[in-house]
Amino acid sequence: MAVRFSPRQAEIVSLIASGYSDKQIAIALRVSQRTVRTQLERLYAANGLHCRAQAVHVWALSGPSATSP
Amino acid sequence: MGGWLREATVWQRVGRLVPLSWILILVWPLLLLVSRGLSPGELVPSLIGLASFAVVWTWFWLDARAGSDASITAGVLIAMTVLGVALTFSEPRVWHDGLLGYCMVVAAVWPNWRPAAVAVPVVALVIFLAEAATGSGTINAFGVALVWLFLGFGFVAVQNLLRENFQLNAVQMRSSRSAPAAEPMALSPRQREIMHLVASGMSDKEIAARLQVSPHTVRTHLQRLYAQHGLRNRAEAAANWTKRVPQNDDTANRELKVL
Repeated sequence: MAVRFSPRQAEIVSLIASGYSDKQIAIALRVSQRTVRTQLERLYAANGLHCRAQAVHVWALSGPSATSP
Repeated sequence: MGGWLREATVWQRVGRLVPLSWILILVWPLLLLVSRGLSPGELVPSLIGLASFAVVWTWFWLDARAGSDASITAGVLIAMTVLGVALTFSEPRVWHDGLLGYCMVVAAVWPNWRPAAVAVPVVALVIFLAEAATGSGTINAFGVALVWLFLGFGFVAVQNLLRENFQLNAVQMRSSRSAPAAEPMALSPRQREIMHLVASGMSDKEIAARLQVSPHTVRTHLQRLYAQHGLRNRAEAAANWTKRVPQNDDTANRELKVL
C-alpha cells in the first residue's frame, strides 16, 4: 500500500494512534481543532481512506518511513 | 515555535515556578489593601478581589489540565467584562484594577493564541474607555490599559505554557506506561475478526451487516476489547491491533478482495 503522509499528518496520526482526541491534539500542536480535521480530510482524500481507524492502521503498517518531506 | 520550546525539561522547570507566581498573584490584592491604608471601606472589595483571583487561577489550573472549551471561556470573558465595567462605574478607585484585571486573566484562558490576540486588546480598550469615562484622565486611563495589555499577554503566555506542560507530562506518562505493552495482544477469534474490519475502515453498521449481527453486538465486542486492553477509542485500538497482532498478509489480501 503506497500511503504518503506529510510530516504534520504523520504527527497527527501518531497522536490519534495513542488515543488522543482532536481537542487534545489541537492543544498539543497549538493549532485549532478545525486544522486537525482538515489535515485528516486531506490525508483521507489523498490516500482513499475512510476513517481514522483505517488511517491509524495504514500508518502503523507503513511505519515512519512513509513520511514524505 | 522553535524546537527548543518543545523540550520537556524546559517546560517542567517553568511549570515548577507556577505555584510561586500563584502565591505572588494572591498576595497582590493584599498589598493593594495595605497600600490603601486598611480602611474598613476598602476591606470588602479587596477581599472579593482576592477571592476572584483565587477562583480564576484555580480555573486556570483545571482548564490547563482538562483542555479548555472555547464557548465557556468566551461566555465567562463577556460576563466578567460586563461586571467589571458596571463595578468600575460604581466604585472606580477600587474596581478598575481589580475586576477588569481579572477579565484580562480570563482573556488569557482563551484556548489559542489567535483569539487572545483579539480579546486582550479589546479588553484593554474597554478598560481605557471605562477609565476615561470615570474621570481618571485620558493619560492615566491609557497607562492603566497598557499595563493590563502587557499583563494579559503575560497571562496568555503562562496559560499556554501550563497547558503544554500538562500535555508533555501526559505524553511522557503515556509512553512510559505503554512501553512494556509491546507483547502481542490476546484476542478472541471474534474480536480478531472485528478488529480486522475496523482497521480496514468499516463503520460499526457495515461490520454488523457483514458479520450478520446487530451493530449493538459489534459495539459491545469493541467495548469489551477496550476495557480488556485499556484503550480509549477505536483509533487507539486499531493502532494497537496493527502493531501488536502479527499481520497475516494473505488473510488481509483475501479480506480486501472480498471487500
